[in-house]
Amino acid sequence: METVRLEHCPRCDGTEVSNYLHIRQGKPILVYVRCNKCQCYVCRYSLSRYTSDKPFDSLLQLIGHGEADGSSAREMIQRIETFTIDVKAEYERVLQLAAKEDKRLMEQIIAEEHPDTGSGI
Amino acid sequence: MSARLRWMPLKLIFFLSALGLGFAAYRLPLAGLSQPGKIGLGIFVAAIFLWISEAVPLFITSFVILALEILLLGLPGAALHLPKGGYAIFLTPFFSPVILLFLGGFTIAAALEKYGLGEVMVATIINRVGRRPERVLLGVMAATAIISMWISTTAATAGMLAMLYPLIKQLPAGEKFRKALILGIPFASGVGGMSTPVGTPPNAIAIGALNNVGLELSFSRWILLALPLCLLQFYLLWRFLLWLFPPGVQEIDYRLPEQARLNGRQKAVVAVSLLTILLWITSDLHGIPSPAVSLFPVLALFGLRYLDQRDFTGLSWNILIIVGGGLSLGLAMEKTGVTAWLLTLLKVSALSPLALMMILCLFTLILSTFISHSAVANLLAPLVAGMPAASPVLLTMACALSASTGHALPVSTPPNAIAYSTGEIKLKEMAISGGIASLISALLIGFYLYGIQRLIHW
Repeated sequence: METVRLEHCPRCDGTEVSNYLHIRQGKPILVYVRCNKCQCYVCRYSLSRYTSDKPFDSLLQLIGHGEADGSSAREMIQRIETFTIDVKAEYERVLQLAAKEDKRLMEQIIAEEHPDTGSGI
Repeated sequence: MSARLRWMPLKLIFFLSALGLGFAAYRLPLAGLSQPGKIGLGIFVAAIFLWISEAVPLFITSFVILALEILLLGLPGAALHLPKGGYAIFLTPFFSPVILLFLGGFTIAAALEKYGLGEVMVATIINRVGRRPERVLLGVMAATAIISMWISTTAATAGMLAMLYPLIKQLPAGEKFRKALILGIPFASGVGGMSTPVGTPPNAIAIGALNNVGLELSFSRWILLALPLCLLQFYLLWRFLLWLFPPGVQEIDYRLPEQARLNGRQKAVVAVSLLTILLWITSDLHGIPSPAVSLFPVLALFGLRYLDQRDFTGLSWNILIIVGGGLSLGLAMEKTGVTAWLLTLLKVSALSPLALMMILCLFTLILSTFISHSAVANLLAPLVAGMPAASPVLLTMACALSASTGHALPVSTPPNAIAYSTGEIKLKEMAISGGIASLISALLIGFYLYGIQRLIHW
């Protein structure tokens, strides 16, 4: 199943939020989400990948961290060529899917769609 | 339909063709080749085609080789008439000493990357070379080469480009020197990778192939032989890029963000890395084999929780499998007599030592321009290690080093593919500059190692 869920403030149900990235060397980056309207804590999750509006630069960072070690040059070319297109196409698709928002709790989504991930508590 | 799915039918055809070609090679009426030898030749041919066509990822080819070896050679009643469980001989190369050596290298690379020490090293060098463009290029190439000695050339190239792209983009559009900076990174990563046994897979494949035939090339000897060559090669490539793409600006004002001082964890990682390198280099003195030394960084960095399970699973296991597959193929070729048979066909004894060395370096270069460098080493190293030549050790080393010189095309090596993808280099420019650079490197390797052979009769 493919759905999209918007972060909602548990107190005011607002969807305008700010992301605070907690960076500690050698540890996963944690993203703390705060509601812009009532300033309350919304949620926290960990970041494993990041792609900016310049996908090639982001891909360089990924490859620079050993993501593609052992790949052949041909695989590398194919990966670079498809990466930029894929990110933009996926983004458009997400916006389309957001029209029908997934209303389940995030914990429920993780348990049902990615049972091996855990709730991250 | 995604590009990957679009290519699936073609890849399947290539895969079946590889098996078909292997079967055809087995069926050829070849004089002087036993029944196991014909099977070994069939596996060798299938592997060649799989590596060239990339019908399956490179590391999967290793598993195909292993499956064919076990089924056709290793089971009781199969061609080699091994006892029950005898097939395990084809498994041992997958955890051979050279694999352990590489595992130690990967562990150090993972720690350097996790604690940002690569960036620290690069910033320290780049910020101290001055503003003159030729010195900036020298700094960029030196930093790339130094980190490529210990981390993969692909990761080093991408990491360097990610850090230096702002510097390159600040130069005026149409400035030729931009190309020198972009190309200097993959060129230097290739040179850096050549200089240590753990720098790039072809080096490990060569050492493993020599081990398969009972010869040894220690860590310290590799560095002793390769380092002067790499320094010379580095200098020539630097001058060549300056000549081909002369700077049109007087100075480049750029500074990378620099960390004031290392924190405790970074210092610990540096200490473990330096001690490991010292133990590797001095293994001939203290008697602990360098592969065994590799256990030290694994135990220290994972044991003391500097690296965790996520880092462990993130190690480049696929590279170890690629190397293991090549060594396993070499072993099968030796056990079935294919290596000896192919060497009689090649008539290498009719060639002078210089001609043999130069032909080997140039032939390896041509292959490595179009095929993965690891695949080239996997194909050639077992043959070269078994050559009845004056110095199979130096020839095998020449093969490994030349396999890292292919830089003429984006498909030659992942660092080239990354540099080409910046859009700063045209295909023609890469072909000319990379072609000449590759030729310089291969000729230099040939003459240098021939000179060593004459000098020390080794």
